[in-house]
Amino acid sequence: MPIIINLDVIMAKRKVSSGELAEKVGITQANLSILKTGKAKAIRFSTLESICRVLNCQPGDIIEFKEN
Amino acid sequence: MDKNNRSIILSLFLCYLFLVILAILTVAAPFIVTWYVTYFGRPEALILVALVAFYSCFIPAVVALILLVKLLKNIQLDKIFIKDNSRFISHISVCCFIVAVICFASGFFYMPFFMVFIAAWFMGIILRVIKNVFVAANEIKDENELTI
Repeated sequence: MPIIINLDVIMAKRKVSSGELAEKVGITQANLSILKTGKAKAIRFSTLESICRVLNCQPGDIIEFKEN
Repeated sequence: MDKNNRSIILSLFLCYLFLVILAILTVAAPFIVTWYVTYFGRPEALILVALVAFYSCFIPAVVALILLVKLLKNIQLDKIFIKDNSRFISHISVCCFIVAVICFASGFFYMPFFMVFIAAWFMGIILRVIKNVFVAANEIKDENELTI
């Protein structure tokens, strides 16, 4: 899929662990792992909003479009 | 025990019951067919045709019943829209088509087999449609589960 999830990069920059992010966003670690590994088929606006709020970033920082 | 679970147990019981009936019929078929032909004065050639048709249909029927039991057990475990179930339904429909073909061929020797052919073929088509619904539902479920 040409949509790349850069969640790992932002988390490392903000020094936030997976467990901490999952707890603050209100999703399970398993779902966060699905998101990080790019296995997710869709992301809810509410989840994206929470992630952006917790990591203090823009949606474009997390999601990127790259042509194959 | 909720109503749905009781219904599944009843369906499982009916499947097992039919398996037992099939097992009894396998042994009793020659006697039943011979009695039918003698009692109703049908041509004796019908004995062979009916027995060949019955024993040919026996294997797909047992396979279909076993698959039905597997399907019901998955449903009992709340595994409904999974790939396995779509595959089971698809195979059951193939079993119906096999029975339909056997009955179609037998129909040329004994007309009432054509009615079984129509019923089996129709059942096969219905199951194929249900299988298509299951495949689509499986895709929707996957997408829903992978929406974070």
